[in-house]
Amino acid sequence: MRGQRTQGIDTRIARIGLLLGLAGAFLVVRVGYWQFRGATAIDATQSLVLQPLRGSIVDASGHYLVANSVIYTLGMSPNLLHEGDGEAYVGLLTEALGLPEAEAKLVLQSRQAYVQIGADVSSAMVDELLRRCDADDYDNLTAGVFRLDPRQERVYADPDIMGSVLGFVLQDGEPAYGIEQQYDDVLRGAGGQWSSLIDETGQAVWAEWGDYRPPRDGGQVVLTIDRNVQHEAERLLAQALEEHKALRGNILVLDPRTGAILAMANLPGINLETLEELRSEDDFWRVANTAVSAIYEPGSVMKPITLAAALETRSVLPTDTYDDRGEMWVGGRRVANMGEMAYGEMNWTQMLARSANVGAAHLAATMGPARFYEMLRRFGFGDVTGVDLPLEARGLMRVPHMDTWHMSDLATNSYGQGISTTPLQIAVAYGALANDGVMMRPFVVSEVHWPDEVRRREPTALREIVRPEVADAVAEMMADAVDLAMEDAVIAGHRFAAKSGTAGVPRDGTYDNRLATPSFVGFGPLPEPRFVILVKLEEVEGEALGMEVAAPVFREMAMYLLRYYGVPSERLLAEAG
Amino acid sequence: MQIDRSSIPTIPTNGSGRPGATALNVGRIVYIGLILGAIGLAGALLLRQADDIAALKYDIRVLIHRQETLRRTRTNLEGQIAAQESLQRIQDLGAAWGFVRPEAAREIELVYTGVEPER
Repeated sequence: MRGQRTQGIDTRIARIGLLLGLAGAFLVVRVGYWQFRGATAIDATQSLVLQPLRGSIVDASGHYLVANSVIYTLGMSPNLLHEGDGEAYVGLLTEALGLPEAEAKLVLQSRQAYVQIGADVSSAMVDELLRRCDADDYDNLTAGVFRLDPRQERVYADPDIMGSVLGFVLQDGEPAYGIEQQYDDVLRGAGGQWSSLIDETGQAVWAEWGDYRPPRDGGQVVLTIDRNVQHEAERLLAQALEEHKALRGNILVLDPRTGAILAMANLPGINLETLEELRSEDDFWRVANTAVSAIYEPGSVMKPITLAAALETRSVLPTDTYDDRGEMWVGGRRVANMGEMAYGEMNWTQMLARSANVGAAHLAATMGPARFYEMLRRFGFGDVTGVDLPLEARGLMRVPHMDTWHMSDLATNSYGQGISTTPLQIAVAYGALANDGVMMRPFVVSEVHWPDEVRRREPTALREIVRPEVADAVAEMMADAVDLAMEDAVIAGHRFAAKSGTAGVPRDGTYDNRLATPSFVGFGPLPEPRFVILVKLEEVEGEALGMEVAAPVFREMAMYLLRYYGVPSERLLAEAG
Repeated sequence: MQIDRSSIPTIPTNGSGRPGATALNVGRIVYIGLILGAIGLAGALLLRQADDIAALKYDIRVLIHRQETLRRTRTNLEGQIAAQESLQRIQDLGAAWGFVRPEAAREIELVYTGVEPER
């Protein structure tokens, strides 16, 4: 009897349990449905690539040269608007974004899922729009019916200077030329990711979903170039180009003690904000850094190099003289001084002062091809300097084992003809003479700053080209030559060692007599040079001598540098004891 | 004939004599109660934790969002600084305020001649 009662109770409990179990199972199935079936049905995730901030570029004093700003592509989904909202949004579009009223109405009446309103909407306009929408917070996707797609664009403090050194970033984010190209791996950074739930219209739903990987912003690049020096160099160069109707020109300033480039002016240049104006192939030489990518015949500025090579190889002594008869035959070809002048017995200072081709050829002939070309190689001709800029040219130098080399090249190369170099190669070679014979690797980036790390670049000595006493002797001879015959380059209170050059312009296997490439290169103030300055004007019409055309620019640049860096004059140093 | 009362079928009672009541095992009730209580407690704890995690994730999300907004603000400020400290702009301002370039200024050498002592 008792057992029958218990069995009845168990049956009832089992029924209730079954009912509860069924209800639970139903709930589990429904939850599972929404968890899996529902999610796949709306394909609800969207991965956003968070763009890293491209690193900025600053000058030696920390002034911004290149920075960024955020602009937006602004779109709208009119189909999400409620009936009667149209008028309010017309006001919003016209007042906050400056859209014409008719266009605003057209957008709102379209009832489309997405209409692009603007491609380059500034942050200020977006802020105003969101303020009017009463949205105090927003992300890159959601702002009511608006859709905001951010992107960054480069901002240039002075877009019309040093464009060929800085380079630029194309619309697809790829860098072109200059620092932007060379240091892209530093500047670019690494992208992050942010996954979101999105609704049917593609807008992010404010909910936790997926993972978040923050972007790593690019490093800040600090240049050795000072923007004030750069600006002055470009100003002087622009004046000279206009005055002498030159095709192109360069002014290079570097510190011979470290190899740091203080200014690199290449004109005509580009305005980084109006790149779309570049169309023709000729514009390549406005975009490219001609100081490192373009080659030219240096002319007589090679003579101090030849002299240093002869002294280093002990082919001649500093006190030697030679008999300048105005001409000389080397390899069956005649070498003559400019203007067919003959100077008689001359020492090396006079040879530099007169810029005697015969004297330079005499030095090269005394050295012989093997030692002469070995020394030119040591000075870095025919090879890249290793500067941290892209597209560096090696220059052209024929050497004895080549079929194209002729014995007469020994003579012509000694005074800078039949050999092509970049302006930077010449400046670096002069830098070795200024730095006790030690050649430093040139560089334009001194530091890279990351949020948690600063990388500094230490100056790199490439090699000792000549002995210190040879470098000093050549520097003194050059400075004396300036005092003797280059009055346009004389700077009161300071001694600069310098040399002019006037090269022909090669055209179709011969020289175009109507054009010349004058240049002036030097370093100072002696006895401890702080600056190497190169001034070069290309394809100047008429009798354009480096001494007359480029020397005054050199002098102006040197005076500016002395004043800017506060270098005391010899008189002040003497008074200070 | 007299019928024995005990032989008549009756509705089962739980002893208190209340009709319809069943006699339950107290131990079983306690057991089921404990099971239900444990499940409820575990469920409540689980929900509480899920709630806390969801709230924290939301806060993280807000912070990430704010961080992204601040990055954009910083980017724009850097751009504005670059534009404001433009060399050309500074030179133009300097010229407007009457400053001249150093090379255009007259360099005057001042010689100190001493001061006559007062008599």
